[in-house]
Amino acid sequence: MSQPVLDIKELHKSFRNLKALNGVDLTVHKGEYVALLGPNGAGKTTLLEIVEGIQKPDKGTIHLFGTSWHENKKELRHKIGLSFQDTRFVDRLTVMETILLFASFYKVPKKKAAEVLEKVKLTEKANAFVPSLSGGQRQRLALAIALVHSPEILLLDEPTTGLDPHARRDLWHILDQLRKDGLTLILTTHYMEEAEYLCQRIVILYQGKILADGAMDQLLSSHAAEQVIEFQLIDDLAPPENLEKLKGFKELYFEQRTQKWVLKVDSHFSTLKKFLSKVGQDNLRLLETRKKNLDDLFISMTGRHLSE
Amino acid sequence: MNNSLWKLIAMHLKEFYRDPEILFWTIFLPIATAYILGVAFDDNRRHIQKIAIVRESVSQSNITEWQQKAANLSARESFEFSILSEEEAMQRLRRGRTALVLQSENTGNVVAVFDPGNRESNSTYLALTSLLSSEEKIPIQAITQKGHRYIDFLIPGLIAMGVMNSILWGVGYSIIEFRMKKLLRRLNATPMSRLHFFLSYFVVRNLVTLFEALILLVFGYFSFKHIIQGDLLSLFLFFLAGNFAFSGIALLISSRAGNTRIGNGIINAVTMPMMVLSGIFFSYLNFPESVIPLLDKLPLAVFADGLRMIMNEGADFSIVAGKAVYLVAIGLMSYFAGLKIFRWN
Repeated sequence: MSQPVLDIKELHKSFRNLKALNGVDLTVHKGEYVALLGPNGAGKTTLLEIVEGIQKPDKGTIHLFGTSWHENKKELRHKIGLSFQDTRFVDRLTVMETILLFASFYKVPKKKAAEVLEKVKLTEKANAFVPSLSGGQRQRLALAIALVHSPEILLLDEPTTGLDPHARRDLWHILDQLRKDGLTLILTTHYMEEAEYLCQRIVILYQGKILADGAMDQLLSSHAAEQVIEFQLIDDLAPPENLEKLKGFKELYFEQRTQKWVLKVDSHFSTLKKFLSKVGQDNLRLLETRKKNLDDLFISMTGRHLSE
Repeated sequence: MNNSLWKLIAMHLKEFYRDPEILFWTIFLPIATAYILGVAFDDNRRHIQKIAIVRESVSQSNITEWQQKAANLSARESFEFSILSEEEAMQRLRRGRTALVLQSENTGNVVAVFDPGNRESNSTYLALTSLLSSEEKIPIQAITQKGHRYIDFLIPGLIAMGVMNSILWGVGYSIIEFRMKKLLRRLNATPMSRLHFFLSYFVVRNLVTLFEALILLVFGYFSFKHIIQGDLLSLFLFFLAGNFAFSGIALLISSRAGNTRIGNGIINAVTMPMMVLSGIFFSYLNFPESVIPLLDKLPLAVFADGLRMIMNEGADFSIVAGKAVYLVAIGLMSYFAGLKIFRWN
C-alpha cells in the first residue's frame, strides 16, 4: 500500500491533570474521508490540533506525508488546509479581500481566489463584508480559506456546529464534491448524521482513546444491536416486566432526553407482533422502529450519548 | 430580589472576580493613578515655584528678602531662584523647567517674562507678586516669540502623546483582539512571515501617526502660528525613533493578554501614568526632585522633550541623537521581550 497521508503512533497529551489523549494510533490514506466522532472532551480537537502542528504531543509520533512538523514545517503548512472552531475574520475586509489575504501567504495567483469562491458557492458574496455573512456563509468562507492553496489534506474542526440543518447540508454537499479532487479529509464532529453522510470511515474517540474505527456498517454490525423499537406509554406507565423474554431481546431502557422507552432487538420484524401483544396496542401513545445508529453504538460502549 | 435579575448580577460579578487579571488591573490601576496624582498635587507637600533670574537683573538681597517673606507666609510655598544667563533662562522656559524668567529691561526695570496662557506660570507670578509691596510690582512681559509660548510647549507634547496612544491602542489592542477572535492562531497556521505580520503594523501605524501629527502641526500653524524651528529631516528621524519605541512597547504589552478587557486594563496602566508623568500638559518638574531622574527617562517624556528641542529650539538630529538611541533601545528590548513570550494561541 502507498505511504499513508497521516500516521500516528501511541499519541499522548495531557493538560495539567487531564489526560486529553491516552495512546492514540491512527493511519489515514490518500482520499479517505475520516470522521473523528465523540462527545465533548473526548480528545477530538486536541488530536486534530496535534495533526495541524498547533500543539505538540507529550509522547508518541506523528508523520504527515512521511515527514513531521519538526522536520518540515514549511512544506506541511502548504500541504494542509484547516479550519478551526469559531474563527472570526477581520470585520472590515470583504470576503474576496479575506481570501486574497490568505492566498498571499501561500503565494497563489489571484484567480485561485475566484475559483475557490465558486467552489464554496460564495461568488455572489465576494464584495460583502464578513460581519454581514450568515453562520453558514462564514463557515463556507473558512472552508474557502482552507482550500485556497489546494491542500492535499483538509482538517476541519466541527465545521457545522451551530449551523441550521439547511446550512449544514449545504456544507456537506460542498465537501462531498471535493472528494473527486482526491482530497483527504479529517473532520471532528458530534453529529452522527454528518459522519454518516460524508465519511466512509468513522473513528470514535472517548476519554482520549479510540473506541472504534471502521466503516459505518462494519461498526454497527460488529458492536451494536441490530434494530431499535422506541415507544411511549399512555399515562407514563412502566412497560410490562417480561419484555426481556421477547425473542432477540438485547436491551431496554428509558431515554430521559426523548422521554421514550428504547428496546433493542435482533430484528423488529420478528419481535414487533409479540411486543404489541405484551404491551397492548391501546396502551401505546407512540411507536417507532428504526435501524440502529452510531449513538446506539456509543451508548452500548460507554453508557453516554455522542452529543453529550 | 427577582431570581433572574440576581442570576444576571451574579453572572457579571463572577465574570469580574473570577478573572484575576481583570481584578488586578481594576484595583491596581486606580490606586496607582491616585497615588501618582496625589504625589503631584499634594497640598501638604511643599510647593516649590521655580523662577529663573537673568544675571544681575535682581539683587541677591531682594532674592533673600522674597524667600524670607514666602517662608513667613506659608510653610508650604517656597521659591527656587536660579541665577542664569539670558540664554539659559529662556531655554529653561521653553522646556517648561522654569515657570517664568525675571530680567531687566533697557530702562533697568525688572519684568516677568512668561506666556500668560500658561496657568502654571500665571500661578507662580501671582504667588511672587503677592510677596511684594505696591512699589515693587513686577510687570508682565508676555512672550510672543515663537517657540517660547505655552502652545509651543504643548504641541510637541500632544504629538508625542498622540503617537503613544495611537500605537498602543492601534497595535496592542488590535493584536489582543486578533488573539481573542482566534485569528492570530489561524494566521499562525499559515506560512505567513511573522516579520511581515509585525512590520505591517509598524508601517501602517507610522503612516497614521504621521498623518495625525501633520494635522496637529497644520492646526497649530493656522491657529497659533506655531512654527517648527528645527529641520524637518531631524524631526522625521526622531519621530521614527519614537514610533519604534512605542511599537515595541505595544508588542510587549499585547504579547499575552487573552481578551480585550484585560488588554484595556494593561494599555491604560501603561498610557495613563505616562500621560500624567511625562510633562505633556505641565512640566514633570512639579513632582518631587527625587523622582524626576526617573520621570525624565519615561519613553513619552524622552520623546516629548526631544520633539520640543527640535521644534522649539531648532536642535538638529545630532543634539537629540542620544534620546533617539534611547528610544530605539527601548523599542528593541520591548520587541525582543514581547516576541519571546508572544502567545499566538
